[in-house]
Amino acid sequence: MLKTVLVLACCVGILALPLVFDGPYFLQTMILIVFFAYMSCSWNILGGLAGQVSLGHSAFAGIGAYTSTLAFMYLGLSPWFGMIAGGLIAGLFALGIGCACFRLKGTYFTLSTIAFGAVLRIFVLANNSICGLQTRGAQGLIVPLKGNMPSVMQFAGKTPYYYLIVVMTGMVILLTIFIRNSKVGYLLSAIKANQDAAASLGVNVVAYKQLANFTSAFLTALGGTFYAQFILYIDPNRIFGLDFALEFVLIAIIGGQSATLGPVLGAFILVPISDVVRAVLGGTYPGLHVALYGAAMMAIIMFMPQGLIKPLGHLGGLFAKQRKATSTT
Amino acid sequence: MLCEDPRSNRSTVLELAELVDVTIKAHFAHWKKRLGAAAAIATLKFRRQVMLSQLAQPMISGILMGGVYGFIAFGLSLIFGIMRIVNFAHGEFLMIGMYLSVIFWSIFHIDPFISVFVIGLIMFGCGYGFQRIFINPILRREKQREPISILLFTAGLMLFLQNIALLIMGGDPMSISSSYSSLMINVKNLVISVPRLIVFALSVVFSGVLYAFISRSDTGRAMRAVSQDRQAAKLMGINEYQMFALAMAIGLAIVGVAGTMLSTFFYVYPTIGAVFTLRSFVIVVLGGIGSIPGALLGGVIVGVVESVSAQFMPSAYAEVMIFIIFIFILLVKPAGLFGLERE
Amino acid sequence: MGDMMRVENLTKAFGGVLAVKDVSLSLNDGEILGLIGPNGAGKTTLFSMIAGFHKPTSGEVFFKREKITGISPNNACKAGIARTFQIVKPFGDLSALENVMIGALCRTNSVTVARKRAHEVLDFVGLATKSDQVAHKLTICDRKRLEMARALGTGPQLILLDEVMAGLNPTESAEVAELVKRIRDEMGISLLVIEHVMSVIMYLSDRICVLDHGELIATGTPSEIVQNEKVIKSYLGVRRSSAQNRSN
Repeated sequence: MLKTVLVLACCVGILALPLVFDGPYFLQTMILIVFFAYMSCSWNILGGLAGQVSLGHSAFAGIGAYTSTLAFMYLGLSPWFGMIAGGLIAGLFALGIGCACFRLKGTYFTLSTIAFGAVLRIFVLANNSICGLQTRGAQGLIVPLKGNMPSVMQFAGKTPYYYLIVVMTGMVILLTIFIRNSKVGYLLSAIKANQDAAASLGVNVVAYKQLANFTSAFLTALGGTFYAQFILYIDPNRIFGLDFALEFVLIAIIGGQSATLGPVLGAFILVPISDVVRAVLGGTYPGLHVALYGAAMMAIIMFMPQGLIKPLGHLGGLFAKQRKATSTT
Repeated sequence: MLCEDPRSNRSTVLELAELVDVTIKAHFAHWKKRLGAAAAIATLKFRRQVMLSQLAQPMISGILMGGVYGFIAFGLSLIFGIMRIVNFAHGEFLMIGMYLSVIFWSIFHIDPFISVFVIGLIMFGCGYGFQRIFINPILRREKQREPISILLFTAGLMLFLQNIALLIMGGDPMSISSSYSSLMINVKNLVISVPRLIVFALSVVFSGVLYAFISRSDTGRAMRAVSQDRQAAKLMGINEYQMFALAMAIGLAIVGVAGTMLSTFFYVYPTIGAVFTLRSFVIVVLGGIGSIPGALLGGVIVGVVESVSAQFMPSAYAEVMIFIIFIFILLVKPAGLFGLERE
Repeated sequence: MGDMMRVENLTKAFGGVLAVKDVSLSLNDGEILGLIGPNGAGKTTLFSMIAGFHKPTSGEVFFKREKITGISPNNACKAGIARTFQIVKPFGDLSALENVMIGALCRTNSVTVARKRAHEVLDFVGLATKSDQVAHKLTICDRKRLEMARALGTGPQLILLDEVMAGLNPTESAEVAELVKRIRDEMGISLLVIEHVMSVIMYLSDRICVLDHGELIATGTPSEIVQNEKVIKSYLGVRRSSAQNRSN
C-alpha cells in the first residue's frame, strides 16, 4: 500500500536525518520544529479532539519545567522522574481548572484559560520562592550544568536531544491515532460537535472532557521539561506567557486541528519560516515573524479552515477512520 | 505627616503641642509614661486620617479611569452580545485610535478633542468594512457551530496589528503634550488631572448617547432583537448581517474615540492594547453582556479595584486581583451583574 | 398502570413562570402515548425533565418503577430513556453511521460492535444507502430519520419523540409515522410523542394527554380526546359548521 510505504519512508528519513546533516544550526532548528510539533500535538488532544480551545497551555509547560528543575536542584531527583512528577502536577491543575470551567460554554472556557494562565505567570514572576524552594522570581531558573550525563537528561551535542524529542512526538502521534480510533475518540468528536446531543446519547461529557484535559496537560508538561533541559534556562515570562501558548494553538490550527498530523505539518512550515524571518529580517523589522503568524492564522481561517493538511486528505489522518463522504468546506 | 484637611491638621498640631507641653512640664518619671501615651494617641489619630485620604485619591482616579474602561468595554459587549464573537483585537483597535490621534497631532497639529470626531468616523467605516469583508463570510459559513474560529481569527489579528504597529511606529512610547496635559485641579484634599476628568465626562456622555440610541431607535431595537434571538429577528425581516456590521462599526468607533481621548494622558506604544482588551473582557463578564449600565458599573469597579489595590500591594498583584474577580464571576454568576440568564 | 414511566405532580418554574404545573401521567410498557397542546404548553419542558435536561422544581419521575428524578441526561440514556430534539442536533461533521455509533457506544466499548449495530439501525430506519454521508448534507427528512436512528442506537426502552414531523410534507410524514409504529411493533419500545399534526397523533397513539398552560387538562383514548370540550376550546378549535351557523 502506498500509504504504508510513505509512512515508513518518512520515519526512516526523520530518524536518519542527523546522520546526513549534522550542522549544529540545522539540528537546532530541527529540534525546535519537532518540539513545537510535539507541543501542538499535545494541545490538540484537548483542542482538536475534544474541541475545547485552551489559550493557557503554556502554564502546563511552565509547571513541567519548574517542577522537574526544582526537583533536580533541591531534591536531587533526575529530570527523567521529575518530568513525570511535573506531568502529574500539571494534570491535577488542569483537572481543577476543568472542574471549575468546563460547565462554561466554549468561549467562556477559553477566556478562563487565559485568566488562569496569567495568574500563574504573575504568581511565579512576583515570588522568589515556591513552596519554600528558591526560584529567583522573574530572573528565571538556570538548570545546573552537568555536561554529558544522560541519567539527568543532559547530553553532549544536539543529536541525542533530537532523538528524544522525535521519540516523544512519535508517541503523542501514536496516542492520538489510538484515541481517534477508539470509543474515546468517537465520543470526544461527538462532544466537540454538540454537547447536549452527546449527553442525550449517554455520553458523560464532563468525564470525557477531563480525560482529554488531563492527558493534554500531562503531555504538555513533559514537553516543558524537555525545553528546560535543552535550553538549560527557564525564562518564566516566556514559558508561562500568552505568546508561547498562542504559538501552540496557531501551529495546530494552521496545520489542521482535525487531522492527527495537522499540528506536525503546521510546525514544519511555520517554525522554519519564523526562524528565517527572525534571523534575516529581525534586526530591521522586529516582530515581523509574529505578524506573519497572525496573518497566516487569519488567512487559514478565512480560506482554508481545515488547515494546510486538507489537500493531503487521508494522509493527514494516517490510520484514522476512513470517511468516504465528501468533507466540509 | 500633615494632610490636606485643615481641620485635621489643626488637631494634629494641637496634639503635637500637647506632647511638647507634656515633655516640658512633666517630671522625669511621669515624663516617660505620659509621653508614651500621648505619642500613641497622636499616632493612632494620624494613621486614621492618613488612611482615609489614602483611599480617597485612588478611588477618585479609579472612578475616572473606570468610566473610560466601561465605555471601551461597552464596545466589546455590543460585539459579543450581538454576534457572540470574542474580539481579541479590541484593544489593538484602541491602539490604532491612539496612534491616529498622535499622528494627527504631530503632523497636522490637530488637538485630540477635535480629531476625535474624525477618527471616530474613520474607525466606524473600518469596523463596517472589517465586518463585511472578513467576519461575515466566516459567520455565514459557520452557521451552526460556535464561532471559535472567529475567536482564533481575532487572536491572529491581534498579533498582526501589534507587530505591524511595532514595525511602522517603532517601539518607543509616544505621547501628546498639549497645553492642558498636566493641568490639575484641587478639590478638597484631592488632586484631579483635568484631561482625565474631561475624558471621563465625555465617556459618560457618549455612553449615554449610545444607550439612548440602542434603547429608543428602531435600529437599536433591531440590534437588540438580533442579540436575543437571531432566527426570530430574521423572520421579522431584519438583516442580521447588516446588524452585525453596524455593531462592529459602532464597537470600533467607540474604541477609536476612546483611544483618541486616552492619548491625551496615556503613553502610546504597540502593546498598550492588550491591557485594555483584558480589562474589557473582565468588565463585560462582570457587568453582563450587552448591558450599558453593567459595562459602566463594571468599569468603575475594575478601575477602583485596580487603583486601590496598587496602594496596598505590588502592582503585579493588582493585576492578579482583576483576574481573580474575573474567575470568580465566571464561576459564580457568568451572566454578570446585569446580564440576562441565557441558555 | 405506569409500569414503564410515570410522573407525579411534576412542576417546573423558570423564575416566576410556571412552565409545567403539577402534571401527573403514566405510560405503560409497549404503549404509544401522544402529548398534544398549544405551543408553550410545557410539552418540551416535560420531556426535558423526564430525560434529565432540567431538574423539576417539585414532583417525581419514575422509570420502570424506579425514581429517577433529577437524573443527569447521560444517566437517563443509560437507564433506557432516549430522546430526540425538536430542532434536530446531528453531529454535523460526522457521517450518518458515525452519528448512530455514538449512541451505540453507550452500550459497548467496542467500536466494531457499535459499527455493526449502527448499520443495523440505519437499515431499520431506511438510511442504509446514506450511511457514509456527512450529516449536515442530509435532507431534513433524512435528518429526522437520523435523529431517530441515533436514539434507537442507544438500545432504549422508552423514546421521547419531540415534534418529529415538523417540517415534513405529508408523504414524508406518513413514512415517518410508519417508522414510529414499527419501532413499537417490532422492537417493543414504548414511545411518548409530542406532535401537532393531528392525523399522525390520532393514528399512532394508544392514549393521548393534553397539556395547556403547563397543566394536564385531559387524558384518554384518541376518540375521547377529540370529543372533549376543554380540549376543543383550548386547542382543537370549534367546528366550522357552528361558526357558519353564527354568521347566517
